[in-house]
Formats: sequence, C-alpha cells, structure tokens
Amino acid sequence: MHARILIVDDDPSIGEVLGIFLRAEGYDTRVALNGIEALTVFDEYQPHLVLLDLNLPGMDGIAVCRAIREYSGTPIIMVTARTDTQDIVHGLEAGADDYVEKPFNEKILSARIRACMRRPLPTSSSALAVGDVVIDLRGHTVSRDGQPIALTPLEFELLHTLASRPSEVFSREALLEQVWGYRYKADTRLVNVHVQRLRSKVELDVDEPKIVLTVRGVGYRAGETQSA
Amino acid sequence: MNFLLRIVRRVKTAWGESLRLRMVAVSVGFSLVAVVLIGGFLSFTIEQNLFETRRLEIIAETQAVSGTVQAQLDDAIDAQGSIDVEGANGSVQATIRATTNSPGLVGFAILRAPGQTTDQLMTSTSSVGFPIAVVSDALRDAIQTDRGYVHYQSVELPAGTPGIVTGANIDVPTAGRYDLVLVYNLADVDVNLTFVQSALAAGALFFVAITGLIVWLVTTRSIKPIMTTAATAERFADGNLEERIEVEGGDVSAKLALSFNRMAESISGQINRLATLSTLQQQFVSDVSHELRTPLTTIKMAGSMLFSRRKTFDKDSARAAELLNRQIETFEELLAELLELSRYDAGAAQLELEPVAPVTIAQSCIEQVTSLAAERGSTITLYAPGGHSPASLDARRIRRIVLNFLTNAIDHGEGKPIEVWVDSTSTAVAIAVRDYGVGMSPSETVRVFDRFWRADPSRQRQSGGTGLGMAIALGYAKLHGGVIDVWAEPGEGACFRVTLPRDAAIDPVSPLGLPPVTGVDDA
Repeated sequence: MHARILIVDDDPSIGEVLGIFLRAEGYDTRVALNGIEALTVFDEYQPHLVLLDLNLPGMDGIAVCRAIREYSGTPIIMVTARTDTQDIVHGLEAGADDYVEKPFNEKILSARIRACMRRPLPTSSSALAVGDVVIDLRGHTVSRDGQPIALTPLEFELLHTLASRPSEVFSREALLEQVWGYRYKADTRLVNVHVQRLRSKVELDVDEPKIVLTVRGVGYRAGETQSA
Repeated sequence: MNFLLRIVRRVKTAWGESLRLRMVAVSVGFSLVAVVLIGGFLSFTIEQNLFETRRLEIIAETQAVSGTVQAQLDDAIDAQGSIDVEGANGSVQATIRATTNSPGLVGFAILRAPGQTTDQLMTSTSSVGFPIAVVSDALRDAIQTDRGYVHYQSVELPAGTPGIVTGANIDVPTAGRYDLVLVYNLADVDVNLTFVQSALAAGALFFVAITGLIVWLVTTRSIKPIMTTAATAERFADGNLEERIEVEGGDVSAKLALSFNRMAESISGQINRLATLSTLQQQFVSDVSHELRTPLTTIKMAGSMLFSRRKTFDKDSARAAELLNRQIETFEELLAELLELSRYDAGAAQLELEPVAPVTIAQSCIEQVTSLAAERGSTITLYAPGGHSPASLDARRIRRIVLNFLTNAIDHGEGKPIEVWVDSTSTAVAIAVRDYGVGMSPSETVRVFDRFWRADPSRQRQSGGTGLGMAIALGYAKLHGGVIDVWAEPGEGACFRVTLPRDAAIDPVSPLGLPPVTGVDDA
C-alpha cells in the first residue's frame, strides 16, 4: 500500500510536476486546486500527509490548515513563496508541522515528507511520565489524571523525545534533527512555535510551564517527573 | 581664576550666539559715549557760566567797595591836611561790612603793601577768621603793580570749597598804599553745579537704559520671525516634513515665512514622491521575485527530473538537461539574492540574534569552502586572537558575510594562502579575510559594494556568484549596526573586514587592523 499525499496548490503545473515526482518516489497523490476542494478531498482521500500551499484563492492555506487541525493530526507541510518570518510563523501556529520555501529542492522535500511520516521511535517501555502527564507509547496517547489530551503526531513526537531522556537538555538544533529529521538547516522558529503549541495543550499554566521547561540560552527539557 | 575664565568663556559664547546681546551692547556702548560727550560739554559750559557770573559780580562789588573806601579815606582828611588813620580804619571796616551784600563773603582784610616809608602807619586789619593763607603774594604783587584795577585769583578755601580772592589798591592819605583784599566762598555755586551735574548724569543713565531697552525690544521683535523660521527649519530637518510657519500680516517677516513654507512644501513633495517611487520599486522587485518563485519551482523540479534521467537520453539531450539544470540553479540563486536584497531595501529584514562565538562562525565557513579552496590550490588558515566567547549575532547573516569574503578570496586569490582573522574587544567583534592574490585598484575598491559589479569581467568565475553578494553582505553588516572595510593593493591581495558592535548604538572600533598583521595580533 502506498502512502497517500494530498497536494494543495492553485498552480496546476506545480501539482502535476509534484505528482510526477512523488509517484516516482513511491507515493500515491491527489491534487486540490483551492481550499474548499482541499477539505473535501481530504475527507474523501484520507491522506497520510498534506502538502499545502499557503497562497490559495478563496480560503487561504492558513485557514485550511486550521480546519484540518480541528479534527485531524495528519502531518501538514506548508509550501510558501513568501518567506517573511511572519508568514512562516503564522503557518506554524495554525498547525503546520513543517514548511518548505519555493523554489524547493525536491530531495529536501522528499526528506521532509519522510521525516513527517516516519514511524514512532522504537521503545522498550510502554509508558513515560512527565510531571503529572502520562504518555502511553503503545496507544500513542497522552493523558493527565486519566483525561486524554489530543496531540498531533508531531507534538506527540516532540513530547516523547523530551520525555525519553528526562535529565537531558535538548538544544533546538538537536530537536530539529530528532523530531523533524533536519540535518543541515537550523530554523529554530519551527521548534519555538511547536513548543508553544505543545505547551498550550499540556500545561496547566502556559506562563509557568511544568512539562516542557525552557533552559535559557540552551534549549528545552522535560519537567520533573513525579514519583508514581 | 577658573571661575573668571568660565565667565569670560560664557560671555564669549553668548556674544557669538546672541544677535540681541550684540545689538544691545553696541547701542548701549555708543549712546554711553554720546551722553558722556554731550554731558561733559554741557556740564563744562554750565560750570563756566556759573563761575563767570559770580566772578563778574564779585569783581564789580570789589570795585564798588574799593571806590567807596577810597572816597571815605579821601574825605577823612581834615582841613589841616591831617588824618586819624586808625579812626578812618574803623569807619572803613564798617563801610565794607555795610556795602558788601554778595553771598559768600568769607572776610576781608586791609593789608599794608610792603616796601614803603610813610609819615604814619595804619594797622593792617582783617575780619574775624580771615583765611590769610589763601591770599598769595602773587596777587598782592599784581595789586600793587597795576594799581588801577581789581585783581582776583581762584583758590581753594581751607574748608575745601572753591573760592575767589579779589583785591584792589587803596591809598590811605599819609599812611601809604594798602591792599583791600576780599575772600568769597563759591560753595553755593559748587552746590548748584553738583546738582546740575547729577541731574545730567541721571538723565544720561536713563537715556542709555531706555536706548538699550528699545534696541532689545526692536531686535527681539525683528528677529522673532527669524527665530521661528530657524526652529521650524530645525524640526523640518529632523524629519517633520509637515512643519510650517504661521503667516501673519504682509511684512518682510511674513514674506520669509511664506518663502520658507513654499520651500518646505516643495521639499516634502519631492521627498514623498521619491519615497513613493522607491517603495513602488521595492514592492515591484519583491513581487517579481515572489511571482517568479512558483513557476521556478515547477521548472526546477521538471529540470531536475530530466537531469536525473539524462543517462537514458541521447548525448545532446543529456547535455541540454545538464545545462538546463545548472542554469536553473544560477537563476534560483540570483532570485534568492534579489529577494533578500529587496527585503533589506524595504526595511523588512529582521535580525535573529543568538549567542554565538565569532570563531565558531569563521570555522564553519572555512569548513564549507575548504574543498573549493583546495581546488584552486589555496590553503585557509584561521588566526583567532579573540572572539572565542559568544556574542549576540545573527549567525546565518554573519556566516553569509564571511562566506562571501571567502569565495571572493578564493576567486581572486590565485591559489595563494588565505588568512581568516577573528578578534574581539569589549565593544566589538571583527572577522577579516585576507588573500594575497590579484588585489584591486583604488577605483575598483570603491565599487565592490555596487550591485552586479564584478572586479574583472574577463576573469573566469569559479565559485559562481551573482554580483549581489557584497551588496547583501554590506546590508547585513549595516543591519547589525556594523561596517565592512576593504583594503586592496594591485598584486598584493585584498582584505575584507566586517566589524560588528556588541551594542548596535555604538560606532564600533575594529579589533582588527586592516589588513591584520601576523605576529602583532597573533601574539
């Protein structure tokens, strides 16, 4: 079975050339030319990953991203011709897992896609705890006091990475490498935005984080695990 | 002394700066000279006049008294031709007392003229308290020498007041010639004079003060429009292009205000037009770059697919695919740099600061170009006397600057060694790249930051480069509040040095020389 990728771009030729390339890479693809169509196709096609152009006629990429995130954690890689910091941060805040800038290198795109869709880290234990939050690795769920917390796969991955080595401080670059699969490029905005998103879901008080702690000038680490 | 000097300095400054102060001082100075001259003349004339009047009066009185006394003495001779001189003396004194009515008579004396032998003597007499000391021999000589006239002399009385001594000769029958001497006090004249003089002085001072005040007011009023214009021009120069002067009336100051306003209008209009033009142009470049990105993505992917399958093509098609692929890369690089530059021009570029050691940046840049340098036969050596501790830098942009220096050095280094220098002080960090290649002439050196300018178009370019690299590097350095300095000599090589302040508000003094010298900084 091939992994399914939904390509959303208002330029048909990009959709087509991406389709050719991704099929050659062994994926199954569908193209949507606008935001509304993208949501319809998403429901029907059930893709494993979405390549989402931010600049769409009508409903723009950010809105599409938010709409998908309301009910799905499917990895979203946004594709943008606008490289201003604000645009990228907005996209990430809307729930995109990663981004590529046009014109992108197809090998890099391929690597991004693989990183977003790869299997969770192999693990010996079945559960981890960070603070009062419990991570169930088999069920791929996170809960506090038995109440489940909905995380996207990327956010789960981020929390899992931090929790797997509780005493270690992860630099943003290390997290980029381990969670996003980056090896060459250091855009720490990705990490910052996703840590914020993760905190907004798992922290009781976002201004006083207990689960994902900032180590100033270095990076992040998991909060103290309560003896349980 | 210091205090005095300070005051002098302050006055000097005020003098130089305040037109009003100068005007007032000059007018007060001149009017002071004028009133001193006029006042002096008036006072002198009045003095002359007052004294002259009194003198004439006194002389006339002396004349009259001496005439009366002479007549009385002549009458005192009885029929036998004899005279009771002492009796005459007494009655004469009474007559003198009775006939002098001029104010200020201090006293009189009847003194026997010296050097004569007569039948009898009349005792020399004087009134009580007569200041005999003020009667000079010269006066008495004159009285006797020229006996027909009244003689006088101005003196200072023992009380310190001005006085006048008059004298005339009288002939006492049988007793010979005597000097009738009268002493007058002129204190009253002096009092009058003092009064007049002080009135004059007070008037003069008042006049000078009024003059100063008038000049102050007039100057203030007439320089007010100038001050207003200057203040407005100052604000205008500070960038408040909407500043205008309120126009009142139709005089010359209103004309100044009108002209200023027209000039301001014209300038701000021009500036706005240029700003709009510049914004439009930047927007256009930015839009073009963005609009090109989407089709370029398609072109790039298609080209890259063709390139990866070139082995299945015939020879010519395969070569075409190769060329296509390479030129797409160049095109992409150019587009990225144009976009970067347009972002800088638009002021949209933002620093992303993080603590990073300049040496780390230099090392990673060297690593990146080592193989390229080796192809050209150049070795790259790092000299880092400082810069090992983190500074707040935008690592991506600084790396870009240093890489640009390095690729330039490799391109123009003719395979000779390349040096990278890093140093820092408490206020700045600097990275310099020195090559020993072809170098540049001064006319080339000033153009290195021009967009799309290349040192020598005939030279084959090895590491690519769009011609925008240095412009971007300079933009990045400026974004940091830093500078890029260039040193070059034809045949000696070139050195590019970026200096970045730790605090963007301070103009950095570079920790490195230009070019850096081995053995000095290295020590």
